[in-house]
Amino acid sequence: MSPPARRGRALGAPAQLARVALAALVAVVALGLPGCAAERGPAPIRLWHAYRGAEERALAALVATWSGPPVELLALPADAFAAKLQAAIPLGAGPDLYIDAHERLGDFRARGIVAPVGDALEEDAFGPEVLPAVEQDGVAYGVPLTLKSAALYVNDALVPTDPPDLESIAELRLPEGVYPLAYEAENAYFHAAVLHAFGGSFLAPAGEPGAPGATPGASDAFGFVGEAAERSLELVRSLVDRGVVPADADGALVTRLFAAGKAATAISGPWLANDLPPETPHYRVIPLPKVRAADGAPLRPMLTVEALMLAPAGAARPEVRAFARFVASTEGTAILRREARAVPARRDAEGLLEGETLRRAFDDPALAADALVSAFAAQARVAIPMPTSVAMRATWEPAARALKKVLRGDTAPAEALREAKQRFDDARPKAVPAARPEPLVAIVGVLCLAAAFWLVRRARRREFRAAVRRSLPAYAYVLHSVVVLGVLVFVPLFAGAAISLAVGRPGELTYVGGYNFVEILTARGGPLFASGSFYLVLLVTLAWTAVNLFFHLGIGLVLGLLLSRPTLRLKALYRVLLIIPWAVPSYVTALAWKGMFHRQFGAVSALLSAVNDLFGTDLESIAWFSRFSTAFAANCTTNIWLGFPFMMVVTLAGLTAIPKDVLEAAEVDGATRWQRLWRVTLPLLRPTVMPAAVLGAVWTFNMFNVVFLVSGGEPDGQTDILVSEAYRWAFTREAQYGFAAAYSVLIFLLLFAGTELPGLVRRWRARRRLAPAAEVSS
Amino acid sequence: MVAIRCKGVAKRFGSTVVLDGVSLEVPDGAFAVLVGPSGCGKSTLLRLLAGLERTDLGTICFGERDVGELAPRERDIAMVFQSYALYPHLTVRENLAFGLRLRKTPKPAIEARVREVSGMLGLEKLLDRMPRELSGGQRQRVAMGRAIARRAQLFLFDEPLSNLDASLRAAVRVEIRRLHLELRTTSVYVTHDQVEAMTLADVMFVLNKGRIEQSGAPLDIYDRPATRFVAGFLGSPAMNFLEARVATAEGAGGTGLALEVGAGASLPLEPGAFAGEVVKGAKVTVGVRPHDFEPVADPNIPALAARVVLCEALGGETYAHATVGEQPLVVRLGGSERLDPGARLRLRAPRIHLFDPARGRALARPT
Repeated sequence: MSPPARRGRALGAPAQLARVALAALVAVVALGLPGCAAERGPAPIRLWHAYRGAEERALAALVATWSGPPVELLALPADAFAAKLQAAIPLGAGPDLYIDAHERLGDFRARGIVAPVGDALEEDAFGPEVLPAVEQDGVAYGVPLTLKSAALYVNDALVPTDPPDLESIAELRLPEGVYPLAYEAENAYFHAAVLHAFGGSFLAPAGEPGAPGATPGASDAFGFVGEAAERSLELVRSLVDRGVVPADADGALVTRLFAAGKAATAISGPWLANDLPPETPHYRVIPLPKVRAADGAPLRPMLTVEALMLAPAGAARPEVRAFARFVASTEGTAILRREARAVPARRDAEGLLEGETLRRAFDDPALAADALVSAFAAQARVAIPMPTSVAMRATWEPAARALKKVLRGDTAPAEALREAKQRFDDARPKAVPAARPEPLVAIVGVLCLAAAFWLVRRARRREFRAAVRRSLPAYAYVLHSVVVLGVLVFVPLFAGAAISLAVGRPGELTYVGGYNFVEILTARGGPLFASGSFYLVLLVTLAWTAVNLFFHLGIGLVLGLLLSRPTLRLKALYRVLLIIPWAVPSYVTALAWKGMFHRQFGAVSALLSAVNDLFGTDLESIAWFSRFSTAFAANCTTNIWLGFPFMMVVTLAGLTAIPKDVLEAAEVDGATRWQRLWRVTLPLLRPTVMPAAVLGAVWTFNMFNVVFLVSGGEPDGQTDILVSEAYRWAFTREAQYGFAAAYSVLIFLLLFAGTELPGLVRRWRARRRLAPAAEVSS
Repeated sequence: MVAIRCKGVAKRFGSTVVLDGVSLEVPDGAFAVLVGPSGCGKSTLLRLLAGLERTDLGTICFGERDVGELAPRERDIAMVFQSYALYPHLTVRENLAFGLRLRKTPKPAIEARVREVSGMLGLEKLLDRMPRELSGGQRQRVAMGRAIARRAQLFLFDEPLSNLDASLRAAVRVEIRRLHLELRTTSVYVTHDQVEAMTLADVMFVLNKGRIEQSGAPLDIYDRPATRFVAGFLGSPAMNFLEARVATAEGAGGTGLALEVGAGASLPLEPGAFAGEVVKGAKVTVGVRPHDFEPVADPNIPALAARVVLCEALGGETYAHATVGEQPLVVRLGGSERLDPGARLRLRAPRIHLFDPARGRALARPT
């Protein structure tokens, strides 16, 4: 290339850049203009789902066979799925259709993010056990896709013939240490199967109870009461008491027991098949057995229908409805069945095995997957769809608590159920008349006026204006942190405070003034120290904070002092080891400790039995979470483990700041080691440790992770602290955000008072002490 | 009140030898000063006396009692630290009473003692202040008060004046001396400042590299330094050292010997002063304190010829920095004398010290 040419190019570069930029701008504008959309071809169909692994691949394979307009698939995390939908669809940025469990329909419909499916649903294709699940007031709001329910896993070697009923499982002759049946007995989801066998349900049926044709769970009233409920509880309690079913079982334990051949049968969903390791003894899956005690009625598990739901915008597009029909078609669901072992919701689903063929298929590795799907499909036919009402979500917590209380022998079934109903009714949102906003507006107005008046008065002062002008560059330096703090701290703070003055679900908040605060501070009309009242929870929180802080400080100080001894060897190693509890994320630690406190299989119980073996003692393993004292102790142990390293580090830092001379002076002055500690070291540590202690108190006061994950408020919410109680109002009691926000405002005020008042009092006292002196001097 | 006897005390930290067989005796009621350059081991020796460190070898006795294995609090001592080491969380009153309270002294007795000590040191108005509210001098006095209040049998001072400014230092020095005369408590005082050492000491120990170079009354040591190190360490400005060779003197009188300093300059050797020790042709180091030079006006008297480099006028006296040949020299002149750079100076030295140039030992003491 010749030099002039090169120069020419160099000169041309800016011009070229400008041309590219212009072209890009034009392209952006052109794409954005609706008039030009026609040139792009049909708009894509957006489908959101929360599938992972095999299910996600199966869905992609299914979509690949679609010949209509292009489909954009987006996989979202399951736990954030609903929140994303609620946020995106009203803004028009959401999907045209999405896949979710049918029990959310009630909520989604209330939020207006789901529309009737219209011709997307082939009504004849679905049975009467499935269709009601997606219907709201007789109108279908979803296209059923796949089904999920629990069924019975049977260990072939231990149980060669299908047990006819639950009682015969209990009577199985089994080797020592093998449970006849493993399932999560304390989990309300699994208990539903027993409850349904007795004709009960968690939500009361609409209309006359027991009237023919009444759909279970059609009303919003608590249904887990009465004879059916009591009998279901008594049955399960006797199973646990007789050792037929393990106590305190969670999903992981059920998996472990069945995989190890320590459970002859297990009640679980299709997910258990995925979790079982290859070395699991050979097993088959059959429908849940009948119950002799319930006059031979079968156990009927909860049915979840994974359905395609159409967003209002998507429902209006014929091609989206056609796509939904295609996905839910016989061919479509066949792909899901083949690729992801999903149980098809259609009646005419192909490849389902029955009877003796099904039984034999479990022995044939090539057919095992089909056999599994077929078994769950058979179970789904007798399962009962989970109610879609919003109230359903509020039944879980009271129902689970009642279950736990009864299974642990704390309370009789009738009493536990009465409490559960009371708890449900208590937590249901009450109809609250909207308050007049004028007083609030007036107060805020007066405050704003006062602030404006004060600002103007300051601004009129010449020196103030000069000072502001002088420090303008400094404001530029702090601006970004002010913005960040404002957005991340102050906006949520004020938004939370504002919500505390309202009731209702998000999007339909009603201003009610101080109603939430009055309700909380009057213990909702009950006795002031009733279970779950603000004052009782506050007491627990204070005790929790005090106990933790005491041990944090005590252990931290002792370890800090030990580690600072100059003669100690391997100091660096100990320091690292002792900081580990702090370095591990608190929820990991909390879950680990929860596992250790497990009544039967935890490390603490193993330790006790080891002690028993060694010394011939007879220490009983403790059901840690069945009594307040032990549950509280378990929480405290976990949090003390988490918190002492911080105090230890602070102590170490404080110790390095103590001059060696002062300690030597005390030594020469005649102080013993002990006297040096009490009279010199500890007083000198105070200025370092005190702020850390205040900080630690605030952290502990708000330590949600440990309380929520270790005891989960057990027993019966007694170990809940204020933050976990606030969480329950927001997330397990029908989203009563206003109530939860009021709790958090109260927590804020308490902590503010607790940490700031001592300082204010000290300053006020100091001023008062100085005042007479000033008078004398003047 | 107690006498101190140390015998063969040795201490090392790791491979560093800090004290190498130190023996010393301090009579009952005496004020002993350990002086030496930094790193000579004087502070370590004090800490050994206090019991804050343990000896590796050797014995330490207070009176008849071997205290080697005793903890500091069992030794009945009081110590004033360089940093004062006041208890920052206690008021002056509480600081003074701290040691007494540890010993469960009755309250009225403590109050009386605090009153007495604060009167002695002028601390009455500071009793309710916190240490951080005091000036350096005040803190120093509280530290001394704390030691005095205890009425220990031995006071230890670890460079207590080094954090004070010059004028205050002089005042407190006098104060310490006065208190000692009043209390007569056996005291051991560590310093690197030779003025403090000279003014305070009844007995002085000059330490160098973990050994005691010389001990005795301060003026004796000053007048008859046993080594070149001691001679150079004591006195301000420091003693001049000139390398010289013993030669036959030209001209009149004397021993017939002179010290040739080089470049033709020489000092006559007074008769009888170094009899027997100095022979012709030997190499020696000549030590002359700046104030021991005398200018010589008479050109017939043999004298040392020096060339002035510069003069420092301090008012009462003037120090002339000069050279003899290549060797530097400081000479004290009268307060009003001024010499320009380059001026010639003829000097006579009636009092000189001679040292063995190889080992630094003093050759013979001038009388």
